[in-house]
Amino acid sequence: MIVDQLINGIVLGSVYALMAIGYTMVWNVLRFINFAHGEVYMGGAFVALYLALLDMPLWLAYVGGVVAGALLGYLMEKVVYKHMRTAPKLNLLIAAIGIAILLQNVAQFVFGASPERLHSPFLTESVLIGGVLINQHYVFIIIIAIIVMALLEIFINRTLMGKAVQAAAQNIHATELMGINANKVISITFAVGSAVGAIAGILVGPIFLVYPTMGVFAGLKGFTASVMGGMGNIPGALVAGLMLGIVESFATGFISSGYRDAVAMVILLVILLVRPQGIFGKIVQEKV
Amino acid sequence: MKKMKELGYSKMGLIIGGIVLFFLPFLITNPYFIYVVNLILIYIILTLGLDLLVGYTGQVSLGHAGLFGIGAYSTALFSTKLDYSFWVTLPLATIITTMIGFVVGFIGLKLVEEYLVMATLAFGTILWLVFLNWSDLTGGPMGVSAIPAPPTIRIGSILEYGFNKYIDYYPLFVAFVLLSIFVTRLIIRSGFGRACTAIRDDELAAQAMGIPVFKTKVVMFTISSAYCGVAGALYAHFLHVVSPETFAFAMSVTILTMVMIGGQGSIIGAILGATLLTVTSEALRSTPELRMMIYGLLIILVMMFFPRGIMGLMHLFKEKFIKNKTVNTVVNSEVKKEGLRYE
Amino acid sequence: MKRKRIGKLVNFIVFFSLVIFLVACSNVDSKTSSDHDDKSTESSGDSDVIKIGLQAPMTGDNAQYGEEMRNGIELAFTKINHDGGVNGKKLELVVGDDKATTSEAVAVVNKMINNDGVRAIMGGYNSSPTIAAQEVSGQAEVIHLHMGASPELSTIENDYLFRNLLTGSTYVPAVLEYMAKEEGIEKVVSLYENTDYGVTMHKAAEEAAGSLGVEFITNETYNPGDKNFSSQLTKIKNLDPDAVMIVGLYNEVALISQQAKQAGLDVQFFSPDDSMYSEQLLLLGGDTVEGHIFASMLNLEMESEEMNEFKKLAEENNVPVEALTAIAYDGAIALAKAFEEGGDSNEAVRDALATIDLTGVTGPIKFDENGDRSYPPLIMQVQDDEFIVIQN
Repeated sequence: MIVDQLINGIVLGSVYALMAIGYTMVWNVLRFINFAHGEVYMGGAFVALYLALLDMPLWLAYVGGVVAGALLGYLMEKVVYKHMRTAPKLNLLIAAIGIAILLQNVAQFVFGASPERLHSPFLTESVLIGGVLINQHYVFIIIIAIIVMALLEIFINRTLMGKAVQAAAQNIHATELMGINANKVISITFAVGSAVGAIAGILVGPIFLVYPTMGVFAGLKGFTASVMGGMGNIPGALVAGLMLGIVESFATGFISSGYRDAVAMVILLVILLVRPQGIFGKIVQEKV
Repeated sequence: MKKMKELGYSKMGLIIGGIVLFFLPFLITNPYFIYVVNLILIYIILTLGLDLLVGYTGQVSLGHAGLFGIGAYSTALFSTKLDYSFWVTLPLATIITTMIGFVVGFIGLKLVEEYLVMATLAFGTILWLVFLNWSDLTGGPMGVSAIPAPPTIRIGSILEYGFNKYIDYYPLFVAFVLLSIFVTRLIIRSGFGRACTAIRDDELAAQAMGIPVFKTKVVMFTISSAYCGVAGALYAHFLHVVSPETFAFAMSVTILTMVMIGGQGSIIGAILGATLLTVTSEALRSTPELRMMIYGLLIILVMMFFPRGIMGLMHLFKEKFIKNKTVNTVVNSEVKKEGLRYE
Repeated sequence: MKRKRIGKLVNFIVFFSLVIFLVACSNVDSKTSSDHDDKSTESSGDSDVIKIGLQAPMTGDNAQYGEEMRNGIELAFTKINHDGGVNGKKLELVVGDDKATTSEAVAVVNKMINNDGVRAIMGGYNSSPTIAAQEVSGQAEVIHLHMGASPELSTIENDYLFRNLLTGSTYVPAVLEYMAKEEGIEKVVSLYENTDYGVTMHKAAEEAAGSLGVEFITNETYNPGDKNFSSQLTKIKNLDPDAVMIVGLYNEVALISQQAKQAGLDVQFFSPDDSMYSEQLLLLGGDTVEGHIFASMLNLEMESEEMNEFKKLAEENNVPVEALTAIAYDGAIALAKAFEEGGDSNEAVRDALATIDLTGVTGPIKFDENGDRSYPPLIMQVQDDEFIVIQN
């Protein structure tokens, strides 16, 4: 039972970690919580689902979904957030919630409300790993999550654009003075973060189905994980996502399933109060 | 001469407004519209409460739906399980909500800005999950039904006033809205209110001036939750049913959006925001598929183009057309500049 | 300073009255029009439409059920209007989104009755919104034909409230008896949705279990909207029950079955009612829902005149044949019949509905003294990707 719960936790945690990256990256450069990030997760999964229904090869449908997710995040920034750079953050927050409401209902209007299953070639098979029977799709999720993390690590630390993103995270104003196109950096950040979010949506599509409101709770969990890991801290988000998944899984298994989501919220509160910089964050002095 | 004329207009407006408010029940006979008006009145109380926090103190809460729920659930439980009268449950609910609000504020307000938003969001979600899962007390997903109406008011044999129809609630709600407005004005004009405004404008400077920042914020949060308690109690007795899904995250968003659309830090703004959003949402009912889409779009557009809500727009007009007129201090006080790039 | 204050107060009152005035104006419009409607329907009866409202979730997590209900009602209305309407009047559907919340339900029912002038409300898919909304329709003496599950809805004193479904106390004993006698189960675990529907069914099952020698060894719940049940299922697996009762809608039953298989939990699954009776279950669940047993108030494969007609209509209008669609269709047919008999008086229509005796797509349409439908349900099972009746 402990092993089973652990595996559930790791699978869930990988998804939370992928979601958390989107929040954290946006926070890094713009210092605001993109509450519409859950809708990227939903949008990517929906596009993948419909491409798959159009008899496209499955891998291509998946890729299409990721591209669509990236595009959605990019557009979100280009159309709305870009024009609100000087607006109070509270306005951005509300606008993000507005986008979430809009996209959920557009999705329902276009795709219908009924949940559908995204196809996965691995869903029906299980593999025996170390004496435990694990569904192949679960293994697939974990492998893809690891690959995505590795690619992200390369992007952030080894490419020029990644370094620009890092610089923007330090101080976007100074970045601009250094001759880096801040708008481009922000766009790239949104696109990459959203692509990762869309990957998360596509990965869970086969097991938890695809439907218009799927992003709401996934978003909340991803957001919690990003706070746990320390806002703006990508490796932190990874570890925190995994931890949240595992803790939640054990909480449902041993305490009560009704309060599962409360567990995440209590963790969020405790982290905020005890270590507002997150488990792995560094303390930053408030700028005066 | 001009001044006299102006004062004349003002008085005229006052009288007309009063008359409309008074005769409204006679003008509207359609129970649906009375229902909507009553709902607006409840939202106004909630919006005023949240505005005290957001607009005047600069602290954002996304957990007020939970506090609203506490008010509604406590009055529902006292009146159904213990058969207390409305006049007892209303203050009780307010006290309980205030106490819980104090706890939430005391813990949450140790944090600032986005972190406070996250913390209040977490509190709101926890409260909602408690409503949903503590079945023995809250009735779980079924909620509490058969909440009685306020008892009939009898003054000798001259006056008998029962709460049977929506219209009967109207005077009660108007009274509470007027009371809320009065209290709000009292607070924002007091020294305490000015301390809050100082915190909103610059927390560090306020601290340097010797304002007990944390304490002030907590007191304001507590006051703000009292509004939620009152609104919750009125809501429960008005609808006769409370159930958890009403007090989920969406409600917190609705209240905050009302504050933002009306314009933060303004009583009129709060009233306009609550009215406009409710009326829009009701008017769009005939197209259920498009309703939430339009609603979402509206929020985005207002936030993009009228960042300070309707009152900000009004302020702009006033500045343009009546250049020599001094503008109101509270209504038009500058919203703290927190541009993303220049922090 | 003082002047400024007065100015502000005036500002507020002017704005407030402006808005109120707008409301009042739109009200005058609709009031005159609805007055007109009332008069014409009452005096001469030559108004050519009867408006029926649908109160159901059209957006949010439960939107697909609202959609299915709407499909069913629209099919029935198309058929009736095509055949000349009700006493020459056309039926018109007004759709109201209750978002599955009480406050929205009250608002929308208010609006449909007082503003659109509907003469009956269908729906209320979720119980608590229905409980809240029936108060409005009850006061206005408008028929409310709902599809909620809560037993509380039977006890409410509202003569205008009818239930277009069997109650939990009819469904649950039937399926439990079958499970005990035919499948020989003793130890059962129930996994139910933490909503009024789930709780109601679970309670009915616990009540019925005692006399049948069935024991519920534990209960697990999930919150509405959950898609991940692996933790609960892992827990259930360790208890080694004879069967698992799932109270949920088709998405959940499909997901639970699938995740149970992944968790290695291989026992008989059953559901107390037909909420998961849908092609979607087979589509989403695939092989994993094979063998699932449930009680149902209808059989969509039944060879009857009504069923064939319904299916033909559905095909013509490109509407998927679903259980909920059929149930809503039946409700609309029954309502139309009641309107035909009752005419222009709501009270007469109510009386006609209370004493109605029709054979519908689902089965006999009759309402008992509580306004509920009640007849013994069928026991069905998923076999080879089809729904088969295993006990009549």
